[in-house]
Amino acid sequence: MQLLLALLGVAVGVAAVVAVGAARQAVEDSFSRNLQALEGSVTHRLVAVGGVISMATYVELRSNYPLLPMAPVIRERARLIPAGKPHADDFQRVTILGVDLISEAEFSDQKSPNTGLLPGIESIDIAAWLGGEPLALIPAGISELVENERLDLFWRGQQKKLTVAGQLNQKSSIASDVIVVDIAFASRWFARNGLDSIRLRLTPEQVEVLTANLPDGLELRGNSDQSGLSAAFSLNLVAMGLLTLLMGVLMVFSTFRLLLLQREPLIRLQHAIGSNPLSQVIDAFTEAILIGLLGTVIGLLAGLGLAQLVIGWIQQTLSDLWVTGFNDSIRLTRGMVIQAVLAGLGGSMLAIAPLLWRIYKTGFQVVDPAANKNRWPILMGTLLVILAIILLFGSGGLLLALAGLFSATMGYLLLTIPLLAVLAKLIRYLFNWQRYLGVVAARRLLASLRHTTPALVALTLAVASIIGIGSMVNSFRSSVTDWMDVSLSATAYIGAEGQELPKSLLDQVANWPEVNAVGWLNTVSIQLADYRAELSIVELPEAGQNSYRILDGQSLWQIADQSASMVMVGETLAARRNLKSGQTVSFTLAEQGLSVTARVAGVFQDYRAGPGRMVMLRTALSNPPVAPAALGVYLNDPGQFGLLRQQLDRLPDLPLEVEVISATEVKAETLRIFDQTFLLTRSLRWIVALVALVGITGALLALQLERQAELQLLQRLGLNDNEQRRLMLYEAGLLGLVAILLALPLGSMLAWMLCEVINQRAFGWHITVLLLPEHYLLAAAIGMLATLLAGWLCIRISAASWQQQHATEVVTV
Amino acid sequence: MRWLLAIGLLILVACRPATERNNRSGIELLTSPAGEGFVGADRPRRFVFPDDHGVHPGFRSEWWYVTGHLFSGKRQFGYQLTFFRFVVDPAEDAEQAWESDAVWLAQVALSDLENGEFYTSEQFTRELSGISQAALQRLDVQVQGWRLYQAAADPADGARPYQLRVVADEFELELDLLPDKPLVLQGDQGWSKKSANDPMNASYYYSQTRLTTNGKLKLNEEQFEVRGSSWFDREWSTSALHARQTGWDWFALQLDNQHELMFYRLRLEDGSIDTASAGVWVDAEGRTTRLGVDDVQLEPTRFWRSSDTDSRYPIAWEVSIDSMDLQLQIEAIIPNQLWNSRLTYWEGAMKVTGKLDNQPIGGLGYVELTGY
Repeated sequence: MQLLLALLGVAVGVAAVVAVGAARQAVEDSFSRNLQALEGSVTHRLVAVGGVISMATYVELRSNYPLLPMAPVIRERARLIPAGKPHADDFQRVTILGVDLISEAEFSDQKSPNTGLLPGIESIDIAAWLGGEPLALIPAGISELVENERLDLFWRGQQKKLTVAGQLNQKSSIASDVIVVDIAFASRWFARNGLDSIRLRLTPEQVEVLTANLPDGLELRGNSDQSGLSAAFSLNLVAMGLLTLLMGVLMVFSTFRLLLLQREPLIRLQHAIGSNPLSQVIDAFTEAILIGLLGTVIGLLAGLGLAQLVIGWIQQTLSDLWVTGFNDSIRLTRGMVIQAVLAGLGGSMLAIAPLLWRIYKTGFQVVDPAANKNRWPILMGTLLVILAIILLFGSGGLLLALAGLFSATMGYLLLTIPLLAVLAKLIRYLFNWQRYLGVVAARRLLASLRHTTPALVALTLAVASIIGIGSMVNSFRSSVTDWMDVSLSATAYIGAEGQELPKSLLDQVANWPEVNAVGWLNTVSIQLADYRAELSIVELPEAGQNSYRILDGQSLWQIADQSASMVMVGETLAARRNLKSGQTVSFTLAEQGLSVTARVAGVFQDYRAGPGRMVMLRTALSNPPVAPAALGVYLNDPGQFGLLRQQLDRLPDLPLEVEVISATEVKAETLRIFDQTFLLTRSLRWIVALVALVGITGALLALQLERQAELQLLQRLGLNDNEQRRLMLYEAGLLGLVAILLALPLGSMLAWMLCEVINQRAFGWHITVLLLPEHYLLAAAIGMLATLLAGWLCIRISAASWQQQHATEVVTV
Repeated sequence: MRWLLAIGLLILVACRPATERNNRSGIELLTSPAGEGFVGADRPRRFVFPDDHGVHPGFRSEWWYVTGHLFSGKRQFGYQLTFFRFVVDPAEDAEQAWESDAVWLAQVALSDLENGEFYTSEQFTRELSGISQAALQRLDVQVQGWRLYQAAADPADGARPYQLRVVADEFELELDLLPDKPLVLQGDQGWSKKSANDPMNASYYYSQTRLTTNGKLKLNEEQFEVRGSSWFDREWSTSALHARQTGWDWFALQLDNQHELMFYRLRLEDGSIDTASAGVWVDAEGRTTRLGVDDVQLEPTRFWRSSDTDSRYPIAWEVSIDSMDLQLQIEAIIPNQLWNSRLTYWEGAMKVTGKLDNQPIGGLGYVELTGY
């Protein structure tokens, strides 16, 4: 039984580590698979700071890098009139991609023929594509809008008829509105003499060379760059994995400690009869390795199964996040095996090494009777907490912050060891007025600490992790919601993909009776020394002037002189460039080459992904852009959004396709993606709870087994079966209570570290920590449930054992 | 002979990436007729130089082709560079970028004859000004940085060498090629018939059969100063391979005595040889003798089987021209010189030994084998 418990402990510790790792791997695999499906072997894109890559630049690149696979792209929005709906209002907006099929063929991946924008490109008749009437490749989703393989497209009032030559990537829902045409056709129709982007396949060495020799005005962007949300999600799972690893090690440590403690009388006996301590050490060591190895293997398999189970629950919900769906196939990576071995074997060694040393030195004592007075946990804990403070409050990078998180957690857990005894005494004192069973349970709790401490510490960490991670996700969501509420102050936003709007549009929209005010926005690239960022140039009505939440300094609209050279800096950029209010910042508008020196009026909250941005009033720029890239429309009645959309669609003679979206739609979509993204994080809490359950069950069971003699004595003194069961449940409940009490501060601390340090260091985001009672209650409930369940399991197992023993006694008599 | 390859180019490979192995012979797909509107090579014409070095709008396919042997100390290399141009739509009215309906395939190969290595690289692209194009009325062809052009006249001696610049995956070539002899107009004053059954099946074809070559070769970071001799061919056409033709064997041999022999043999599906097969003998002074199908006897003597295509290629031959008392044994210096990318064919550096007028003679050459 003891060996089985030890094996179970190791296996569950390892399984938790593997399950979190495998789940994270599944998400990353889904991301990669999605990217592969959408982009084939394309790894990077070149884009122009000014919006268009000139043909001269393309020629230069092609000539300088003759063997580099690169494919030019022209992009434009147009209207597709569905078949059988001749009315001009019945249109669907589509993105037209003008591509060079011959260049695109370089990205066709023979190993994954169904990936990329143009899978099956080999079958396209290039002669017909180049030489005949205009052909188009369409997504499967719009095939019902096509009649007799003919497409009717409108752009700036011009109609073009195209023949459908084939279908695009069937799996791609993102590309559901993309129509691919030949680049020559797109160039002629859209009167373009340049490119919107160049798709590339680059090795890391080529990235280095190209980046160093990039023509002016071009920017190289990697396709694998995750969105801010995905990156935050991955990072938080890394932190969760770290905590689970620690928990796994503690579990294994606890398991082996219990195993050796139960062997203590035997070890003493062997010592008394003259057995060599070294042979005892070797025996114990061999046993630990065997159990560690076997437990690690079982844990690896169980972890994969657990991950599969969790992934299976949420597979459907997460599928929407990626065009290729969520990858529910779990795989084992080398990193996961290393972590598993580290937790399984490493934990075993860590647990038995000091104990074996004691056996070897003292001959028989597994645990120092004066361990409670031992000061090393206090000393080590204090040192780790000091180290954590230095790492967390210093100015280091993300890795140091993660090290700080680890140190703080370890330090706290070490400091809880002496605290356990204090808490247990307090509980015993509190239970003094209680009935008989409560007193016994409280006393037994104190007496059993030397056996249960590691399991209690593991449970503390489990409960704290549930609080910390839950609070972090909730704080993040709440901060994003607040940020959107503030920054999306307009009712709706009008824009045209990647292009400036006509100057006259603002006046037209402003004159509509349902419109209260219109805000003006354009974003340009800027160069801050060697760093490229964005500058939002704005002109906002009064209603929109509070759309920046100031974290430091003041808002631009609080400054009397609206033409003063002042900027507000987004927190992401402020963190990356170490900018604060009151500082002076110099930058160059990349496209115009205009140098600007401005004072930082304030730093505002900004969760936007990308390199970061500054905001400047249009009136403060000597040579501002003349046309807006977007308009923020403030309606008298937000319910009139539909009317606004209708009016825009019917505007005659618009030189480009403008699109409008309501702030409500933006918020809803953002939160939908947020909730889907973090669903896995929430679900993985149950794995943590499972570790807690098994850990505490093992500890309790070992305790019961060890104290069978004491229980038999109590039985003879009149303790009936029912009282015995209640006693064990009380004991379990008290253990849970102690762990929960200790976990509350640690959970809050973890939430703070994740929000204020880890995410801040990684993304520059300021997340307001929101500690809601429900997270504590949920964590406490999970912790208590785990301990009570453990107690119940102990009762069941012990009962079976007693019955067997009782039967043996009867037979003996 | 490569114009036939060019015709097959689009039909066969369309957008197929270079990594994909093509196990089909190009020949079977070479029979597609040209669309309306192209100019045909249907009669002899007057050649004007340097104008005819440039591109010929209105024709369906055109190619520029250089092979040669290079020496650097004890090291010996063979090289081959080809630029194919293929027009999809005869109405070439490109006013804007991307509007040209021509595509280019450029292929370069290097045979490291000492180490038995064969390196290839190719580029497939649509015509675009400044990137992939050929000049009108002069020799200047480029495809994404690879370039073959005729330099301005040297003020000292008025020489105008051809210059070749290529940066491939594993090697780089930078060569000057100075013609040693006058241009040779193949066939009937440059009108080269390619089918006995179809008089309209022909191309315009001329050659520069010997060019003294100097320059640099960089192979896997190793630099070589090289010298040697090259062969330059030009051809343009609109017609396609006749339905009964299955492939060809093409020989371009430079003998030690400064004579050259070019001969192409068109094979028919019944195993016989098309009587349009022809060649030319060029003497040391550049005088030419046309050779017909009955003038030249060709007999394969050794074969090499490719594990990639599972085809057998004749890589050693007995060539004899009785009227000249010429018997030659030609043999591939290394067996594997197989192109197996967008197009599949064997083309490689050869060593020549034999007798002319009963006197021993040697030489070097290139052979192209298709349809196997």
